[in-house]
Parts: sequence; C-alpha cells; structure tokens
Amino acid sequence: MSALPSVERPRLAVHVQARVHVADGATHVALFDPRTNLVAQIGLDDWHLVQQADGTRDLDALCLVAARLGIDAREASIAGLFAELAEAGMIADGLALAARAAGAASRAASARHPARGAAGLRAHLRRPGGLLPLLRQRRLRPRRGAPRPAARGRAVAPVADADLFVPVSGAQIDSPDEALAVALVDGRCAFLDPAQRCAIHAKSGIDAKPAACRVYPGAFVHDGVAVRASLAPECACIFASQGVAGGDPLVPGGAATVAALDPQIAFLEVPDPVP
Amino acid sequence: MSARVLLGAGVDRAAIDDAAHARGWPLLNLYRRDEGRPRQVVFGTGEWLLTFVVDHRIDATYVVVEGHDEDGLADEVRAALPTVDLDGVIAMIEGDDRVRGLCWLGVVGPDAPAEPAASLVAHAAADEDPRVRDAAAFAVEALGWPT
Repeated sequence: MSALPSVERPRLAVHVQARVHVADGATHVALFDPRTNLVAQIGLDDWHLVQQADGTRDLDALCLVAARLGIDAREASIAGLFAELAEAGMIADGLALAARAAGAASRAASARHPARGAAGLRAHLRRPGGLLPLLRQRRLRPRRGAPRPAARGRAVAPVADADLFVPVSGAQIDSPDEALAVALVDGRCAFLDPAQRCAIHAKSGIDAKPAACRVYPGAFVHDGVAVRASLAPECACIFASQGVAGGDPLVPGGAATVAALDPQIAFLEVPDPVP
Repeated sequence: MSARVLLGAGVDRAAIDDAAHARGWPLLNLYRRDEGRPRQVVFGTGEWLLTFVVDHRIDATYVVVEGHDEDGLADEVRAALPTVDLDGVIAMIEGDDRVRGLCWLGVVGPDAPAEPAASLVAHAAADEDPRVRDAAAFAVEALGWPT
C-alpha cells in the first residue's frame, strides 16, 4: 500500500464508534475515537468503503470493491482516506478477531459480577435521541461519491435501509450479538416519529427494538467489582426521575449479574489504574 | 487484435486514475508486478478493454487497446493523457535518449521493418555500447521482427 506503508489490510479499529448522521438533508458519518475524543467526519461513499475494509483487503482490493460499489475507485483517493484515518489513530491492520476476542474475554471474566442500579433512581423517560459529544472534530475531505431490521418499523427520514444501523464499534458486524447504533436525523433517532415516539416501539412493541434502545439512556460502567447502572443526563426528565416512585428499573429484566445482561448492552470499563 | 498507445514520461497511476474517473472507464482488475509480469491496471466493459501496463523493465507506461473500435479507443486515450507517437520515439533515438527510445520503439514500432526505424535499429545493434545493443535487441524481439 504505497501511501500507507505500515498498514497492509486496513480496518476501522474496534474502539472507534461510527454513527450515521443526517443534517440539513445531507448524510455523513461521524467516527468518534473515545481514546482521543477525536471525531472524523466522512461521506457516505467513504463509509461504505470503510465497511468493506474489513482487514482482508489491501489497497488493490479496495480499489476493486470501490469500482464494484460504483464509487470513486482512484488509488490515490482511497489511500488518502485511509492514510488520514490512520493518522487519526482510527485504523488497524488485519482481522479484528483478536481485538474482539479480548473484549469478549473481558466480559466473560466479569460474568459473575453484580449489576446494580443507582440507589433511588428509576427511569421516567419521555424522549429518546441525542448526539455524541463532538469535542474535537476532524473533517476529512469528501470523496465523490448490511441491511438491518428496518422492517420492524419505518424510519421517519430518508436514510437507506442499509445505512440505518451500524455497529456500535468498528465498521463490521462480526457477531449476531453485536450492539448496533441507529442513524440520527438532525440529532434525533431516525425512527423518532412526528409524535416524538419511537416508530419501532409504536409498530411492534419494545421487544422489537435493539437492546441498546430498550435501555436508553441507561449508562453502564464496570468498575472491576460490579457493573453500575445509571442514567445518562440526556434531558431534564432524567433529573426528575430521582426519588420518584415507580418507573422502569435501571437494570433491565432485573438482571443480577453481568452474565444475565443482554450481550448487546455495552458497558464502559473503568481503567486500572484510574489515570 | 490490439493496438498500443505509449504514454508520455511521468504519466503515473494517479494520472491514469484521474483520466479513468473523468472518462468513466470502469476499473476491472489490477495485477501486481512480479518477476514475469509488469504491473497492469485494467479498465473496460464487455465491449472493450484498456490495459495500462506500467513496464518497469523499460521505464514505460503504455496502453493495450482491445475492442471493436480500437482506433476510436486509442484516440480517446490520446485525448485523455499525454502520449508519445512513433515520430516522438524516432526523435528520442536520434537525440540524446537513445536507449530509452529504442526500448519504447518496441512498444509503438511498426509490425514489420520499415524506415527510418529499421535503419536506426540496425545501427544500434552494431553499437559499441552494450546498453544500446541490448535495447535494439529488445525492440526487435518486442516487435516480432525477423532477426
């Protein structure tokens, strides 16, 4: 790979979180690196190419798959995209299996750890939706330019079915248990209907929604001893939940241990030692 | 049948890709350079093929044109990228770029010996410089001329 000598078969690193955004009618994909708080913005064509860069394709193969997709197949353009992402620390080389296995092993090691909701807090929520914090944004130059379960409900805004859901981390869906993130339209979930309700929930019920949506805006943090559940302060109704009787439990299904949590529910690991 | 178009010095992959992008030539395949084969970039459809050969052995990039209308396709390549024709190669041989000119003659020279190329090759084959003699031998072999 001439412009990317240290990476032979690029892949979006599994710690990078991609989200599809539609803003002012234009679709782009934000790539967020939680290690550096860096956000890169790429176009939809580039995202489709990044999805194809699964660690098995070198630059020649990426040029050919771009041609097959009908997008810009110029070598310099493709090499430039991955060089910029690599410079941002978002690219790994080869298959993701080792990185995924490390995550699975970490979760397995904590399977018996208890899952605890924050004392006195239950969920009384009125609306879903929200944007990743864009702390530092990097806009990559635009290039010219896996169907998911949209059938369970119809997206409110014009987003292609194939772009409605992306993996929570990385660019490929490697497991049926993999958590998915939904596209956002003007900062709101693509399935949010004009009545401010989830279109999937309205049509098919809560069980039809992805696991992360069922617990949204639950926040789960593993401190090495237990997974502690709380609510991310996404709106004023979160604060109104404090001390109010009733509402939904913070730990879904009354799960007592990590093993009982839906595998699609991701939790943050507190680093050891804490920096 | 096929035709060849020799590209000008300095025409690289980026220039070829830009031309293909602008003209809508679909990329079909890529071949790595190895011991027995130079790098190749293939564009085309079911009707025609343009195979760009980056021939490191003679420091030349040329296009093999195949299709029903090879003259038309060759003209399209000439319109899209800088090229060198037979007269240009003859001028190189007669000027101060003799070795490279002889090698490039092997790409765009006539199918059978014809003047002035034939005389230039004959003189080169008897030259005291082994690089010139080797280049002349390459041209003869590449063009399929009788030895």
